[in-house]
Amino acid sequence: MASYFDELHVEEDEMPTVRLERLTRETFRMLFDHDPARYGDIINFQNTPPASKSEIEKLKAPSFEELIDEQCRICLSQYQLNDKALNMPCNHIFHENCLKTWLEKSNFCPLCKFELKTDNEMYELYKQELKNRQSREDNIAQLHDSMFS
Amino acid sequence: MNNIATQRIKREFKEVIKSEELAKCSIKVDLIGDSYTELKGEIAGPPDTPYEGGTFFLEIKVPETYPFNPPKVRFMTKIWHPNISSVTGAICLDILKDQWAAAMTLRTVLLSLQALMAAAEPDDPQDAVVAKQYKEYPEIFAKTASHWTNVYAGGPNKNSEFDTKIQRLIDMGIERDQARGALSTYNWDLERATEQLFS
Ligand SMILES: [Zn+2]
Ligand SMILES: [Zn+2]
Repeated sequence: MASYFDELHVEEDEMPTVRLERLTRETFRMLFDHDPARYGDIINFQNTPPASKSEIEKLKAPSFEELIDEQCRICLSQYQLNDKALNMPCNHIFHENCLKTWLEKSNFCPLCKFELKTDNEMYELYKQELKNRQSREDNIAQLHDSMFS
Repeated sequence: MNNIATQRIKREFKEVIKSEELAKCSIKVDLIGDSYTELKGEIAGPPDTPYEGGTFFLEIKVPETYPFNPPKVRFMTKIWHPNISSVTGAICLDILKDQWAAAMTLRTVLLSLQALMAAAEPDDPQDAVVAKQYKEYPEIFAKTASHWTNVYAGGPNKNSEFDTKIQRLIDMGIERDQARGALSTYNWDLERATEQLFS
């Protein structure tokens, strides 16, 4: 399986902004290959980045029935009539205000850690590369199993 | 303090009071005054660990931005553990930092700390000295942690060998806690501890 970065080959006559992007990606890859754990420190993931605004806007309100007798797990209060709530893609529901305050700080679901996309390109690359490594390892494991079982 | 933080703590307070763990005397939260910004936590040392039989008190400070930011928690009871500073009680635990999530509660925090006491993470230490001893001399670590539990947390295991060594340093004019700290640091090697204290 080709690396995510191998697919990003860029031509000489590319736009300056693309070249800049490629440079960041290459720097990223260098750092990541060198020491993935420290890479996290370098770009400072003390807190995961906020969710992208456009992702937050895509969230839908749950139906009224879904709120009956349920509790928002951020503020721990029961939903009242006319309370505004939002549904995460993982189907966890929170008050609109509670959830938005949280997502402006961190991009994951407070209950199950499901991640929304962020606007932080470096963070997205980091996640992608972790995923690629995992699937490479899975492929090798599968290949090994099919050969020796 | 804003409304959501206060309301949240009040609700949680009831939750911990009603919880099974409280009935089993394993965790507890008390208010300090009636501000809801400062609380006192209590954890029983987990069974089959050097902390068994001890009671550990925690300082819990609730920020105005709670539950969007984690509470600030510190051990008030002195403890010998790789992920807790033996000097300040500061804790290295991911959920108190970048792994905090707004749906976590004081109960989650106290239970996680209890789990941390039962299973240290020496590769992510808060106290490098303790972590080194934990990895290199696990038996000395266990005895030291058990001794600290006895002295500071009311644990059952007295260690007369350690007490004798501490007394030797006290006789030389060293303060008791400082003597214990130095001996713990130097794996109860009286000579090295003395050397370090008088250098
Ligand atoms: Zn809420
Ligand atoms: Zn979720």
